[in-house]
Amino acid sequence: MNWILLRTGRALLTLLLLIGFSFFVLSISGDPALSHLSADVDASAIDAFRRKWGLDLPLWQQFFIYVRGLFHGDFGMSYATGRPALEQIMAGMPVTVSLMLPTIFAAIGLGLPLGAFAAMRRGSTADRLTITLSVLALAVPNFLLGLMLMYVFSVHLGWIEPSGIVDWRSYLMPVATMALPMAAIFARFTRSAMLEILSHPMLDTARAGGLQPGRIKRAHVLPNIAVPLVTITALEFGHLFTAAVVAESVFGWPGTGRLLIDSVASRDFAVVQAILLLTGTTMILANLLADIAYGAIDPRVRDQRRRRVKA
Amino acid sequence: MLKNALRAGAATLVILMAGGAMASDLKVAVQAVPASIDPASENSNVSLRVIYSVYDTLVKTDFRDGGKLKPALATSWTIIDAKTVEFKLRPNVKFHNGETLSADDIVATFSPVRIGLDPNIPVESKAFLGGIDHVEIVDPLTVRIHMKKNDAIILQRFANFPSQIISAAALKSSASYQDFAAKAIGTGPYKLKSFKPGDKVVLEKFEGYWGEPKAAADEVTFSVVPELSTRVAGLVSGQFDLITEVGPDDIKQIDAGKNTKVVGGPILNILGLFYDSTNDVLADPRIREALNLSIDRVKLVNSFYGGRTEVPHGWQMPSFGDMYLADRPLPEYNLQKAKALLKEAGYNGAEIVYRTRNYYTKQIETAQILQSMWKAAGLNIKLEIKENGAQVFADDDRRMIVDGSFSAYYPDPLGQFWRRFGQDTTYATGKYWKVDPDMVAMGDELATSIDTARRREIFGKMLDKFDKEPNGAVLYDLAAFMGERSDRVSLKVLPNEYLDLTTDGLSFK
Amino acid sequence: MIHPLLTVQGMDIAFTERVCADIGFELHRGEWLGLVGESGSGKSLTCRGLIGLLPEGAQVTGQMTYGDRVFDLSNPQAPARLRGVEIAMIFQDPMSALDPLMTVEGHLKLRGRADGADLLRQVGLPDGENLLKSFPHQLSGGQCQRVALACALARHPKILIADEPTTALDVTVQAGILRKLRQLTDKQGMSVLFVTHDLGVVSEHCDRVMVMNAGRIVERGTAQDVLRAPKAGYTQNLLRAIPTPATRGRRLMSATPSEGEMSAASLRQPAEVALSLKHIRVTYQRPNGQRVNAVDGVSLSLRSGEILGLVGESGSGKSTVAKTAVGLVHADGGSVELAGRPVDWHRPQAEWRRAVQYIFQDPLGAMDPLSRILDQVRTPLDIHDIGQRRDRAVMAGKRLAEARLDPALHRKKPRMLSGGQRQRATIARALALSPKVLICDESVSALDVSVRAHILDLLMDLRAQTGVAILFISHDLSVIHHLCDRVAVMRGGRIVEEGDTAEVFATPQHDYTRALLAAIPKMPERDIGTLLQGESA
Repeated sequence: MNWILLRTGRALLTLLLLIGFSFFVLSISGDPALSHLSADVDASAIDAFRRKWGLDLPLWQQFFIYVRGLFHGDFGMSYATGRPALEQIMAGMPVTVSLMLPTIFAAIGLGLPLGAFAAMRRGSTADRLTITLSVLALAVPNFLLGLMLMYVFSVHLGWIEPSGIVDWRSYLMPVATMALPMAAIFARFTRSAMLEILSHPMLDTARAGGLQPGRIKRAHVLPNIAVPLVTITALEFGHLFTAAVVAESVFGWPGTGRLLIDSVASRDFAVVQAILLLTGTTMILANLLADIAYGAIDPRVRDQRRRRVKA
Repeated sequence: MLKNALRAGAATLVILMAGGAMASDLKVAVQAVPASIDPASENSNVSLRVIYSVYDTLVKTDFRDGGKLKPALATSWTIIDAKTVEFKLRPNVKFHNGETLSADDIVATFSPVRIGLDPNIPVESKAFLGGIDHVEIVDPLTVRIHMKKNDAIILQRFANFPSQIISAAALKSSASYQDFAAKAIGTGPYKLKSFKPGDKVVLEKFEGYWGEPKAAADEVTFSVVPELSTRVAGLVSGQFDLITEVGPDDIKQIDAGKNTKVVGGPILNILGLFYDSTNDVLADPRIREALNLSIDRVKLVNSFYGGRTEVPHGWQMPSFGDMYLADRPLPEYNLQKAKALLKEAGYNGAEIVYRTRNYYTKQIETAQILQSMWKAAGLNIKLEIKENGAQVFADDDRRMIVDGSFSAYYPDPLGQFWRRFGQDTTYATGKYWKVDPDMVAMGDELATSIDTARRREIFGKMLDKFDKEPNGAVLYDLAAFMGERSDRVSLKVLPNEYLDLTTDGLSFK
Repeated sequence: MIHPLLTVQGMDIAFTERVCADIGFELHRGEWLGLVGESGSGKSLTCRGLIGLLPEGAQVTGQMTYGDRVFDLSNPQAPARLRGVEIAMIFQDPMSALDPLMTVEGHLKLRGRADGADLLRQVGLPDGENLLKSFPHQLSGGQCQRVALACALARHPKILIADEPTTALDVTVQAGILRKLRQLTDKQGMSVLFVTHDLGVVSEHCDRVMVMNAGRIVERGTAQDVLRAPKAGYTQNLLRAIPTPATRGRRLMSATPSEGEMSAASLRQPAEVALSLKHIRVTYQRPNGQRVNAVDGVSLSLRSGEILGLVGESGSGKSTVAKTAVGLVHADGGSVELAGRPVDWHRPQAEWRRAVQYIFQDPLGAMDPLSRILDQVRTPLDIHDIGQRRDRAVMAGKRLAEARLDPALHRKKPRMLSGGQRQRATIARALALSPKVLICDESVSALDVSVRAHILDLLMDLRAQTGVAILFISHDLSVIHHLCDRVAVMRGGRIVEEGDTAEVFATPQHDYTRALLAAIPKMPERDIGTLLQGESA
C-alpha cells in the first residue's frame, strides 16, 4: 500500500513539475496576447485580452489559479477558441489514439519477429540486412519518412490521398511513418535481448538436458525476453505521442499532436498544459503497467516488492 | 439498337451523376483555419479568405474594376460632411439566419463591443473603426454614421475589412461575444455549414443570396494541412482543387504538372523594416538613410520571386487610385551615397541588431541577403532569429531593426503608411520612435481633409521627409500564391488576401 | 576386459585455429574420470564437443562410441540425441544454470519429472516439497547446484559430465555435494567425467585422471599414480604449484631471481603493530528494515612483516572487516588504528590512504580499461605528489618490475594482459605508495594454480623485501596454510578461532575450524625430495 501511495505522490509531483516548468518557460518566451492578436491591433485590445484571460496578474498568481482550477477538475480555457481546453483536446484524442494503437501493434508485430529472427541467424545476410534496415529506419527523421511515403504512394502512384482521414487507406502512411522507426527500435532491442538470452548458461543446461530447441524457446527464451521488451514498450509509449505529433502535422490529421504544436506556437497555455498532463499521465500509467508486468513475469521483482511492502 | 441506346443512356447518367456530385464541390487545403469567423475578432489571411464569402459590406470595393466603390448592402450613399455619411440600405436582403437586413443590423455591426470599446472583449477592429462616434437610424432602411473626427476615408472605411455587416439578431441572441463569433451569420453568397477549429471550415451555397454574382460551388471545404509539401502532394494527387500558401520555390514544380498551375501575385501588402531610433546607433537619421540606400530591392525580388512580385514606389500601391503618386521613383539604391552618409555620421562599425523570425514567406532568407548588402556598405549587422513576434518586438536595447508587413487595408496612405508611422500607432506608442511634430501636423491634415489634390500634395511631402529621416524601409510587395487543379477549376485571384468564390472568381470545368 | 561405456577417438576441435588435438579416452561403467587442466587447456571444450554443445563455428572431427553406437563428432546433431537421456552435464555457475523465471518444479517438469520432491531428496534436498515452489534466486548456490544436478539426473543418464561443478561453492558445501554425487553414482552405476582444476578433488574422488595442457592430453593414469608420481613435466609443474602442508613458508615456483631471499622474514620476529582493528561492528539494514550484524565485534592486529590470514566462507563478513580498514565500509562500532594512531575514515587523510592499500579479486574490474598499465601505476604517485614529476614514470616502471611484470607489457592496456599479469599490475599499483599494510581480498582466487603460485611467491618476496604487513583474505585453507604466519577464522561475523597457522591447522580448537579443515580435499602425500629435485631441474 505504501508503495502505491509513494508512487502516486511521486507521479503527482512529476506532473506538477512538468506543467510548472512548461508554464514558466513558455510564459517568459512568448506572449499569448501578441500571438493571438494581429500586429495591427489596437493596444487597448491587447489589454482587453490580458484582462479577459487573467494575463495581467503576476506569473506565479496565474500559475496558482491554474493549479487551483486543476484540483477542481477545471483544465482552463483555450485562448484561441474560448472553449474549455479539455473539450478541445478530447475532440482530437480519438484521432490521435486511432493512430497510436495501430502503430504500437504494427511496431511490435513487425519489430519483434524480425529481431528474433535476426538473433537466431546471427551473422547471416538476413541478420545484417535487418540491422542495416533498422539503422536506416532510425536515421531517417519521421518527418522525411512521411514525405517520402507520400511522394511514392500519393504523388507517384496515386494510390492513397495524402492528407486527412478519407478511408481506411488513410491510416497506412501515417501509421507506417510512426511505426517503422519504432519497429526498428523493437527489432534491435529484441535482437540484443535474444542474443543475451541465447548465450545464457541456463540454455546450456537445457540443451544438455536434451530439451528440444522449440521447447527451450517457449519455456526459457520467450519469458526471459519479455522483461526487456516490457521496458522498451513502456519507453516507446512516450515516443508514440511524439511520433503522432509529426505524423499529424505531415499528413494533416486533426489530432491532439497537431493541436500541441499550434498551442505551443500560440502560447495557448491551458491547451498545452492539459496535453502535457494527459501525455504525462499516460507515460506514468504505462510505467506503472510495466512495473506490474515485471512483477507478473519476474519472481525476483515480486520478492523485492513483498519485502518492501512488509516494511 | 435499343441495347445500345440503353447503354449510352446509362453511361450518360453515370457521367452526369458523377459530374453533378463532383463539379460543384470545392476542396481547399489551407495552412490553417481562423479561430473565429467574426471579422472583428480576427485579422489574418486565413480569416480574410473565408469571410469574403460569408459577409458583405455596405459598399463594395470592386477589385476587378480598379478598386471602384460600388453599391452592395447600401444601394446609395451620401457623404454629408467629413464626419458624417448616410447609407440607404438594400431592401429584402436576407441573412443566413433568415432575418432581413435593416438599420438595426448596421447599428449592431458598429456597436461598441464590435469596434473595440468594451474593455473586456478583445477585438481587432478598434484600429479601423474606433473613430465611429455613433450610428443614427434615420429610418429602417437609412442609417447615418457619425465619426468623432473628420475622416478623409470615411467611405472606404465601410467598403473594407472589418466593416462586414453582421446580424443584430445573432448578436442579441448570443450569451456571450464568443458564442456570437462562432455563429458567423452574414448576408454573403455562402453560409457556414460546419466549423471545427484547427481542422475544417465548411461553407455551403446560400440559396437566399440577394445579389450577383452567386456562389460558384455548392460546398466549399477548407481543410487544414499545415505542411506545404503535403498540400502540394494533395494537389498533384487530386485530393484538393486549391491549395494556399504556395512558396516561391514550389511554383516551378506545380506549374510543371499537367493538371496543376500556380495562380496569384502581389497582395496589396509590403514587406518592410522598422528602425527603432531610440537607441544610440540608429538615432542618427543619416545611418538610417544609409541603411535604406544600401538595399538592392530589385535583386531581392528577382532572387526569391523570379519577378513574380514588384518593388513599390515608396509606401503606396497603385490601388490607391487618385491618391497614387505614380511619378515617384523606386526607392533609391546607391552604395556610394550610403557610404558617404555613414562617413559623415561618423559610424564606427557599432553592432546593429536585426531581429527576425520565420513568419512571412522568405523572411529569414531576405534578412540574410539584407545583412550581406549592408555589409557591403560597411554596416555591421547582427542577425538574430527568434521564435515568435513577442520575442522580436520585445522593447529592449537589442531591438534595432525588425521586419513586418504593411498591409494596405484601405486604398489610401491612411490604410498603410500612416497606419504604421503615424503618432497613434502601436509603434509610436511602443517607443520605436517619436514622430516629428511637422509630420504629425501633415498626418492630421491627411487624415481629416477630403480635398484629394491637397492630400496628394501632403502625402508627397510626407514621403520626402520620411526618405530623409526614415523610421523604416520598403522592401518589396508581398505575394501570395495558390495552387490550382486546372483540370477541375479555374480561379481568378484578387490582388489581396480575399478569396473570391463567386462565379466571378471561380469556375468549374 | 570389460567393454568401455564410452570411447572417444581422435577428437580435434578447431575454431580459426586448433584448440584441441587428438583427444582420445575411454570411460568405464561406474567410473569417475578426472579431467584436469588450467583455463584455456581445452577441457571444457572437450566435454561440450562430446554432446554437440560447442559454440557456433567450431570444427570438430573424431569419433565417439557409446555402447555399441558410433557417432561422427563432426556432426553436432549426432551426439545430441544422447543428451539428457544417456549423457547429462552440469556446469560451473549454479546460479545461472537455472532459469530465474521458472520454479524448481518447472525445471523438473520440463524434463518429464512430476515426482520432483523425491528427486530433490535424492540429491540431498530433504525439504523438497517446499523447494519445488521456489525460484532459483531464493536458493543458495549449493541448493541451486543440487537442483541442477536433479535436472541432469531426471532422465536417468548413464554418464554425467560435471564441468567444475563445485568451483564456485564454499568448501563445506563442495564436500557435501561431492559426497552425495559419489553415493548416487555408486548406487546407480553411473559414470562421471569430472572436469576440475582442483587436484585435491581429483585425488579424493576420481578413479582415473587425464591431464590436459594446450589442447592435448599430456598424461593419464590412475589418480593416485598421477598425483604421487607425475611423469609429464607439465603435471609435475602443476603439482608443484599447489600449496600443501609441505610447502608452507616456501616458494612454490623455481627460476625466480630472488630465490635466496625466500621466506626469511617469516622467521623474523614481527615488530610494531601496523594495523589494529578493535571491536569492529558493522550492521546493515535488510530491505525489510531488519538490522543484521555483518561483523560483530571483531578485533584483529597485524604487525609489520607479518602475513595474517583471514579465512571464512562466503557471507562470513571477512571482506567487510577488511574494508573498514580502508574506509570502504564505515564501522558502526569499534576503532581502526594505523601504527598505533586512531583513524577516522569519515575524515580521511591522504597519509592514511598511502599507508593501507587494498587489492580486489577481479583485477580487470579494478583497473581503468582505457589507460595504460604504467600510467595506472603512476596515478597514485601523481595524486599523492610523490617524488619529482619527471621521475614518476621510472618509479612506476620499477614497481611493475618488482611485481615481475615484463617491461614489454608496461605500456599495454589491461585487456591485452592475462589474468595473472593484471593481478601483478594491481599489486604494483598498490605498492607504488610503499604502503605499510596490504590487504589482499581473495586476490588469487580467480587465478589458475600456476599463476596463483607465482603471485603467492611474489607476496612472500615482497614481505621479505619491504616488510609490508599483509592481511590475506581467502576461502582457500590450503593457500592460507601455505602463506600465512597467523590465521583468523571467521564465521557469521565473528572470529571463532585465531592463532599461529601451524597450530590452528594441527590442533583446531573450534568445531567450525575442524569442519572446514575436514572439508579440504586431501592431496596424497608427496615425496618432498621429488619435488625439490624437480625444482632444481
